[in-house]
Amino acid sequence: MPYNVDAVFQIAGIGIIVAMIHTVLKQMGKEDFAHWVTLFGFGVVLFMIAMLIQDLFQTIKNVFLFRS
Amino acid sequence: MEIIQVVGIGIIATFLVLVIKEQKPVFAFLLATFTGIVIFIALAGKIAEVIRVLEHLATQARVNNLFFETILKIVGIAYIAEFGAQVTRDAGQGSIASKIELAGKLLIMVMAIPIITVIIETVIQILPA
Amino acid sequence: MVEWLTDWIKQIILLVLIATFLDLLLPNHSMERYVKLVMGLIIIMAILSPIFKLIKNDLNLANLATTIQHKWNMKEMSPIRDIKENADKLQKNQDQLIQKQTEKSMEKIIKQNIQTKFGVEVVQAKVKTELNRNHVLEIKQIEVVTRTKSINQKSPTKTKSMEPVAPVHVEITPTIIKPSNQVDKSLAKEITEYLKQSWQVTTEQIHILIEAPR
Repeated sequence: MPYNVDAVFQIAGIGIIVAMIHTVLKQMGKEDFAHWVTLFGFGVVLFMIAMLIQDLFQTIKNVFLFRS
Repeated sequence: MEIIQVVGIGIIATFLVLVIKEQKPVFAFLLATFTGIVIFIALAGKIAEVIRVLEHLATQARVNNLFFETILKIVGIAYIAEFGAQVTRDAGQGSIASKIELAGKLLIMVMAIPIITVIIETVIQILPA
Repeated sequence: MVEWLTDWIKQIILLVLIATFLDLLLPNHSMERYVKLVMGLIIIMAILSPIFKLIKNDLNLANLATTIQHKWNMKEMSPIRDIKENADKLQKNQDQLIQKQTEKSMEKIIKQNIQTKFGVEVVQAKVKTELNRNHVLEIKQIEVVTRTKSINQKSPTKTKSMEPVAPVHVEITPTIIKPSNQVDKSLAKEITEYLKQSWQVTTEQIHILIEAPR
């Protein structure tokens, strides 16, 4: 269970930080950078989640005998 | 007391989602999905234990292996379809969610086709021509 | 039997148990109906499994039966000549039996008739028959040995042989009668005449011997 609890906070932190950077950059008038940063943050989190989903599907397969 | 852990992670995730939703809804959605997966993986071990016990019983009672595998596959399909549908629905895509559910139902019925075929053939054979 | 029954019931009970468990394990209600249907089908399969076995066995038996029949047929078919030979043999046997039976009954009738008609003791009556081409029995020869009762003499027997009207060669002389006296001679003649009339044979086929009485 303690397996991935940290990741929850990681994602939340990334989200908050990305939002902050986005706001700051927007204030500075560099909307371009702001969007790129948001996209980058989203990609990182998505990668984490994709890994986890793969893990999940593998687990379900093992548990429910999807041997074929 | 794993239930406390699960509930704890759920509540924390909920708060975090609430906080982030103001700034970035996308990250909120990802966080929710992530939490769901973590909880499910935590429970998968328990489900596996239950299923192993059932499997052991089944082999002892010489239940046809085909039956048991079919049953387990059906449950697996139900779980995965359910998970996908809920995630999509959380993201606000109700139509995609219902398509996923439809696919799950159909695949379950496909699993049942061999059984239905055997039963119907037998009934036809029993009935005099 | 009991073991088999136990197995069967165990299977059903376990399947029901598993089905209940799965119902509890399922994540939501929309899938429940489908899963329940499939579980019901599986349980029906388990309940019907003995019938499946029976049907399978029947099919196997049918296959076996056909194969055996094929083999049998093949075996029967190939030596058709043998069958025909057997049939011929049987036919011959039957013909012989019929012939013998006929001869016997004819001998009996002749014996009785001569005894009652001429008042002599018939020691022996022999009838020989033969099958002609059309599988019809024909008389070949009649042999009668009689002994006069009344007098103290032995009457020589008469033997007659009859042949069918067909051109059967008769090895028997009309009368090997060595009649010891005139009476016997005339008696032999009478008997010959009688037999000729009643059996429709020629004189050559009749052979009569009259012995003198002991």
